[in-house]
Amino acid sequence: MLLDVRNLGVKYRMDGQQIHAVNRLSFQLEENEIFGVVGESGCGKSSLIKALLRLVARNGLVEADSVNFQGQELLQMPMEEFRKNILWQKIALVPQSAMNSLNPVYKVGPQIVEAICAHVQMPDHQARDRVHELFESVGLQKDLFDSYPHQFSGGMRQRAMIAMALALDPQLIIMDEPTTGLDVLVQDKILKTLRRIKDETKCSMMIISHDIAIMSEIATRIGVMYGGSFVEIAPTMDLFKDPSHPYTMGLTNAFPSIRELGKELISIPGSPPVMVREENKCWFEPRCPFAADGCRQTFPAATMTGANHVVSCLRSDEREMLAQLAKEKATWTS
Amino acid sequence: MQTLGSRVRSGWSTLHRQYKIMTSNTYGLIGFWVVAFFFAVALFAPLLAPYPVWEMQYDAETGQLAMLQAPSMQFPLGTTHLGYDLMSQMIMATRTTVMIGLISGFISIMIGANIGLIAGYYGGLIDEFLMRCTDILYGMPFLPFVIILISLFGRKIEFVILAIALIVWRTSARVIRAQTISIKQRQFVTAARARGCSHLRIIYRHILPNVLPLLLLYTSFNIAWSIVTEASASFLGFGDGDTISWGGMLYELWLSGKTRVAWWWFLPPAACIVALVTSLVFISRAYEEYANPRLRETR
Repeated sequence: MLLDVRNLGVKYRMDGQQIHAVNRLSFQLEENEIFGVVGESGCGKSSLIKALLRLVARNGLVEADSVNFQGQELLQMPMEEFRKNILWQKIALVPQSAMNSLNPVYKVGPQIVEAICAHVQMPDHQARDRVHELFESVGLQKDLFDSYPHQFSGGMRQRAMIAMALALDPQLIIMDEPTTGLDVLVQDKILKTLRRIKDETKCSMMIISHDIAIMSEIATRIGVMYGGSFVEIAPTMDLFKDPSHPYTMGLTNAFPSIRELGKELISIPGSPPVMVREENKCWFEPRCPFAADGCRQTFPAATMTGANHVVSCLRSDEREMLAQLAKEKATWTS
Repeated sequence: MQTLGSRVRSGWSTLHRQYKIMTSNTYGLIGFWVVAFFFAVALFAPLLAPYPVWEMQYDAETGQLAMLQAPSMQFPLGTTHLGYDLMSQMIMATRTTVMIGLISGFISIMIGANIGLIAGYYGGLIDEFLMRCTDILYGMPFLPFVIILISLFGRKIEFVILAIALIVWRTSARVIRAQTISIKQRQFVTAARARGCSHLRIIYRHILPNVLPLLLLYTSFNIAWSIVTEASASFLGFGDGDTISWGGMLYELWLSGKTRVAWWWFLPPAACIVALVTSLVFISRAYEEYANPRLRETR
């Protein structure tokens, strides 16, 4: 196992209130897999990344029973050690909007060379060779080495950021919305590149997106986030064939399917909760058409409903019946 | 490894780029050459000055002490009431003024830039503390503060420089802090943090280059302010008595009581102060236009 997160919580202090962004979140990440994280805005995706990389702002508080990466407890590690030995070398981030993630005053190639040389002992020419190699593997021409970021297109900048993340052969690459803002053709090429990189380097990827269609294409396993924790984690095929959490059912309804053209999309009414205190209840309950009395009194524990299929719902036993109901528009609007 | 040749070339191209920015408009062009002229005079002052500064001169025709003479062939800028040659004084004073301006300008921008960068980047209590210090400095009246500092430290040129630098940095600190705050929210700073860059590395390698145009603008601004301050302090008699400066020349004139008579004594230092400071402001305007392209459109 590469990464084991148990009971992660992220709180922000704001005007005397504590806002919970991530709440009782647990998941495991295996080697050489692509784990997709989906969820709507405000469900805690970004806070999850920040907590894993220990980049949470000063008003934030991160707690967890355990965040274990290859046998090392990440949150207990001294910050200096974490910064020098884990960040980028073991866990690399491709930040959201790669458009603005390159320093505009430096040329792209030298910028990566310099970053490598600052991080590991490596002679300049060797780092340059490495960057040429990286450029090739992400599909950038070598003569772009001496260009400025503003001379790059959006897709090229995304590739450059991926190259930068790969530079030190990390075991885990976290990508925050890697395809947002790119047109579908470029999206497709980037996804292909990612898949090839995964096969070549045997690294794991954690891809955060709100685009479930992209996820279905690339991820081997998908975690659905709601209210600061995973409500359902399942291998990609299982998730779409056998959605077990009402939120997942709603989410799959809200995306167009090529086989059912013209079918009206069903959205989930309401908006994500603002969690100002820890409550013993299901956070999806106010929007859930199948909410029962028990949902308001207990926080649903994660239960296995199949191989590698984990759901946090009290009514997961009745999932087949609920999934049928969830396909009807009336279920969601009444 | 970068070869020496490529280092020299890149250094030269940086300088060339700065020249292009400074001379991108007419005022900047005028400013650049006026400043270059004064710098050249300052550099070669001992070679250019026809007479020693503190040596009484005698009229070549009459053989008498050349007291308070109007400009002539022998004394192109006339003489003082003690028979000192004003041309030589002007040239040597240029050296002092330019030196004080440059050194206190650079010290002040160093202080201002670092305080601005650190306050802006770290925020919180550090920011609060540094900015309140800046505010306190703002509350101090400029000239009296410098005068008190000089009288505390003594009228040595090093202390004059220090006293000026200690107050001129305040505006640059504020402006650079504001710019730093806006830049640190850009995505590439987060990206650098996620790569494990240290705070200092982010400040000086990632943010600093992005505030550079602003920094250069305030460097030239601070030099101008330092020169003005030095002239004012010297005119009030708080300059270094041993080294002559433009403000010091005006002070001597004032002491001699010949202000109404000796126009040739009064005019050159006054005009040079105005010319040099204005030129520096022109240059900083050129940088300002470069740093803030919106100004270009309104021209």
